[in-house]
Amino acid sequence: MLKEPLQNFLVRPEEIKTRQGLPTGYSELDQFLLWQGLPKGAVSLFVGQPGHGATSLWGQTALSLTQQEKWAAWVNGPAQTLCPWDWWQKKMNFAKLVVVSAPDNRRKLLWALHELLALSLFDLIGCDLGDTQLSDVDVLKLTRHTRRMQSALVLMSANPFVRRSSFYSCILNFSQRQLKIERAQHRLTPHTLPRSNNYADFVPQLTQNRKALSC
Amino acid sequence: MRTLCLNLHKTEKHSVAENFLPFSPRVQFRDPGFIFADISGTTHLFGNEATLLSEALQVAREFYPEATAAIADTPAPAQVFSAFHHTTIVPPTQERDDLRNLPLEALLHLEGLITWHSSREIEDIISFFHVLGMKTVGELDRFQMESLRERWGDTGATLWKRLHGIEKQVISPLLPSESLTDYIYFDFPVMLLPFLLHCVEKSLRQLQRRLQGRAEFVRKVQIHLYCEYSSKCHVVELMPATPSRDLDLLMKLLENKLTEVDFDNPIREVEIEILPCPERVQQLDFWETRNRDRDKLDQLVSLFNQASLTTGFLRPRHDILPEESWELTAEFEEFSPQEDAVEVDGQSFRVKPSYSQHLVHAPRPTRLLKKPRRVSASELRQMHFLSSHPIERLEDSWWEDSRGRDYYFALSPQGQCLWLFFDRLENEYYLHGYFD
Repeated sequence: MLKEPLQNFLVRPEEIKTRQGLPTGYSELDQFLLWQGLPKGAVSLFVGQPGHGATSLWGQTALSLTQQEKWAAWVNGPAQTLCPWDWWQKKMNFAKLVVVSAPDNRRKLLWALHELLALSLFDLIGCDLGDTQLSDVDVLKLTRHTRRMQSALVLMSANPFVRRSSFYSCILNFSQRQLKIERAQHRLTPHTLPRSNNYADFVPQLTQNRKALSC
Repeated sequence: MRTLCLNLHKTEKHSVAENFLPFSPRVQFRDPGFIFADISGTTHLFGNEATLLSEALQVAREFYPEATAAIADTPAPAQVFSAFHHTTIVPPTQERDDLRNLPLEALLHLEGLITWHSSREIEDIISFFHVLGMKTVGELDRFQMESLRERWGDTGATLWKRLHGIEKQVISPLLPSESLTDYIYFDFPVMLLPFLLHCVEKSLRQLQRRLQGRAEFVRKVQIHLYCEYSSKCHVVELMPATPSRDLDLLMKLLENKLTEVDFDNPIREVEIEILPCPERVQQLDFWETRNRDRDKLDQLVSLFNQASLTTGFLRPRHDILPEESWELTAEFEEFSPQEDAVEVDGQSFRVKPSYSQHLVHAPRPTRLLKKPRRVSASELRQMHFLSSHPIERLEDSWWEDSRGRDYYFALSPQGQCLWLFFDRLENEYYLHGYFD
């Protein structure tokens, strides 16, 4: 009865298109996320102390992107910088990676991110927040920008108490033994994934203890 | 000769003629606001005269909304038509016929590049013809040149020549020599940044149009903001990473600079000066892709440099110390690792080893601390070192202030993968990076 009048308003299953994602190379994570990777046109948050693998996950995504001649950008944090050697050894295309030094304050950081997004050039932007706390309004503004420019913006914070705004599409929490997906749209969260050590291949000591270091 | 006359309907400076250089190299300004251009040799570049006229009017109306234009054979009738018909193209050799229907008052505008000695004199001539019962320019055809000369001297002869299109008025090529400067004086002191930006944008837009005419780019913009209550002057310098004429970029750079300026002492006068450089003339290959990404990046680098943010591409360097082993460069440069050199001298050869070649393959962390942090004894006790011997020993030039570093991998109690070094001079451990 109702089917015919509603025919024009109903959407067929094949017409439903999810937002695009950028594959991280971490297959379990990509399979779990609706976007099959980091969401484009959205802001993601990586929480975790340095040394737990957040930069590697971003870098793996950037690595495959730059090798496909697509652009990525990284904004350094106030205390740490991105060291290029590891990525050079993995054959990252540095001609497609733009690095920005650390902005002095929150206002400048937001401005820099807005400018990077406004350029409509970068598919992936990573930013080390350092101690900066972003308000909901800040994240909302960034989300609007990313949606318009169809970029994937990844913010990283080492502060475990960083504000988890509801405007983040994806929140990943990195710890020693696991990767906890705190938020992912249209997925049942929290969800945990095992984490293995990325450096076990070139640090022999880590290879020996591979089992002990990974779950 | 075909002449374009633009009537700006406003008193303007001579430099405004530079705006119209794209339409012809032979451009001349005449007070108070007339531009004459010889378009005989350039019309074909625009397709036809109608296109050229509409494009020239578009440029003029950007700053002078009431501007009118006409194309005729000689400058004087072109001026008349620009005054009486807003946009007119008089077909070649027909200007005399078209002039005939105009009222006698049109004689006041029959000047071209050379103005009437006295407009009063022309008004008297018009009154005289009115007394004779004449109303249109065409009715003056019955007079000979000698008759007009006899009554009004040279003015009469010039009038006759202009009516018959035989007065020689040559438009010379314009060589831009005036400096690219502008000056704004506010009737009231200004404290509001948006208003100030609006006024400066207007000036910059005009200067940008002149630059376009001169085929030049902006190398540097210098803006002097003079304060109201003291002799203080804020000097703002804008320098794009690569010369360009991008007004949006300049405005963004200016806005960023001006947000740092304190406007408690309001601004009364503004002086803008542009230091130009020649436009890049690039012959593009037919098959070459037009790389717009490069322009976007140049824009970004300029913008961030103004905000003291270093931006660029990572370029690894052959340097022993990890913190100095790369740099950020505005232009991407390919990096190739050093290799051992072999010198062949007759029957013998000599290998010159490259000492840094193994460094490029040495394990390096993804995140490096800007400044190595000293690790306290208590922290050190909690760390789990992955080897008792150093993984790597780095020692820079012994003749300099060599310190010597022994690098180790360690795990923190939280499971972080750390890169530490032991400073052999200080006998202290430092945290230098994270395998993140």
